[in-house]
Amino acid sequence: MQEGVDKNAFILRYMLERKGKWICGEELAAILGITRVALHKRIKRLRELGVRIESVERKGYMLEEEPDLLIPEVVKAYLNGNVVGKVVYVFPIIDSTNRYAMEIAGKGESEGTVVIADQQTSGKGRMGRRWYSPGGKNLYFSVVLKPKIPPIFLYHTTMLASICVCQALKEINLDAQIKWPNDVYVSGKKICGVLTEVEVRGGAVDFVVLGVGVNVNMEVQQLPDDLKDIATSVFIEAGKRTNRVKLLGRILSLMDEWYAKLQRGDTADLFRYWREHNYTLGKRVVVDGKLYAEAVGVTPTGELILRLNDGETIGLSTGDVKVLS
Amino acid sequence: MIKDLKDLFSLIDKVASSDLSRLELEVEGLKLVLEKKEKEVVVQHQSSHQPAPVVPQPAPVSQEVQKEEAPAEEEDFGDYAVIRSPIVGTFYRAPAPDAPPYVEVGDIVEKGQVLCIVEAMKIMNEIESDVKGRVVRILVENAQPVEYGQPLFLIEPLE
Repeated sequence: MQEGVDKNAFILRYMLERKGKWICGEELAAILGITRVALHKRIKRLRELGVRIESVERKGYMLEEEPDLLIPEVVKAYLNGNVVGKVVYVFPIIDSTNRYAMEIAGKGESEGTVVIADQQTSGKGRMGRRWYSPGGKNLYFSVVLKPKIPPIFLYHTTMLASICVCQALKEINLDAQIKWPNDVYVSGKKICGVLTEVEVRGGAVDFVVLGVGVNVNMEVQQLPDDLKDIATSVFIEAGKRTNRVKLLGRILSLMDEWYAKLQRGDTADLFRYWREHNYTLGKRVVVDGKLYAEAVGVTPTGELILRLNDGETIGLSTGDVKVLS
Repeated sequence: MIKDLKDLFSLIDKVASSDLSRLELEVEGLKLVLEKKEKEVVVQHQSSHQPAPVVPQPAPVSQEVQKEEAPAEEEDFGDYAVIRSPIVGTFYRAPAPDAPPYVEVGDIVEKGQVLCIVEAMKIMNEIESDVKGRVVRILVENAQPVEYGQPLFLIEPLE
């Protein structure tokens, strides 16, 4: 599957690893096991897709810039995982990447498949809410996973998504933190949301779809009025455009690493990272606008531990948590 | 859910490395209570939609599995198919607060048709009917917390 895409992605990855250097066509063709003519055809195809590759006789090929094109070839060029991103579907426009991923997962799609859209017309949020999903700016993607965990520990998969986004954003110098249960915040505003959908059959997890939206190159004036005070983007925080496809590749590569840990049953690091980069713990919060408490911890199955004003401690599994201080 | 000792030990490890000082689980008549000694914390599962009353906890039993002496008797649902919750969470009859419910009593549902959503920690679980039939009873109110294995719907099979 996606063999042609994979070969082109290999060529691009090879060039990315040798950025600013001339690449000998003969050598690269030999590595790929194809002729120089066949390689040239592939380079031509990549150029048609919008990748800027220079070629000079007797020097070879050179990548002029890191491509920021939302196409499977480029997405895959930025990946270095084994499972996550093995198959990549990219849509210029779709109703909801989660809706599509749930549909194909229900028909037996293998794990690691990623569904990406440039734009969503009905991006899903919690309880029928919409995730604002304009085209050309942000990341909207859904990952199909088949974790070998009992349903009681499903929270670990959704932690995975927020941890990878948080880590990738920190790598580009944003002060990102994870808000319970799984949003990512910068400067007290939401930069990423995660919505997980799951199919449980006969007491076991059949598949999980992690839906992730990250605000990347959206500017303040492009935010709808009702989001201006509560949402932010990489552009707003960093003050410059960011290569969103490279960022996506990094998030998915990190997800591949963390998922391997999860599959080995090693969740200690997951919880450690989650705690160390947490926005909710230790803060005063209000749940659904009515229940005031202090967030003091998280249970192994993901409930937020709240200490109420009378000192009683409860575990919260559902609700909108607003951080007060 | 807890199939063997390995699962149990893994759960104990997770409790030990967590902020939790006490955990109570009840699965299919099996009751498990884990308690750490140093802190006095009682955790109850609950949804914010209905703050649960404070329930006095029985005397703790440290890391010990016990068979319940008298498992709660479940109502006899006769020949009806029982649709149960596969996870602990909050029960929703509609995909959004202002949307119509997935199903009403009396509706004929197909096998595989979505009946409700159970949500926990922003993980949405669409519960499907595993039979074709008529919805006879809806056993839980909208937005209420549900336990693992709790009956949600009674369906009268039509095939």
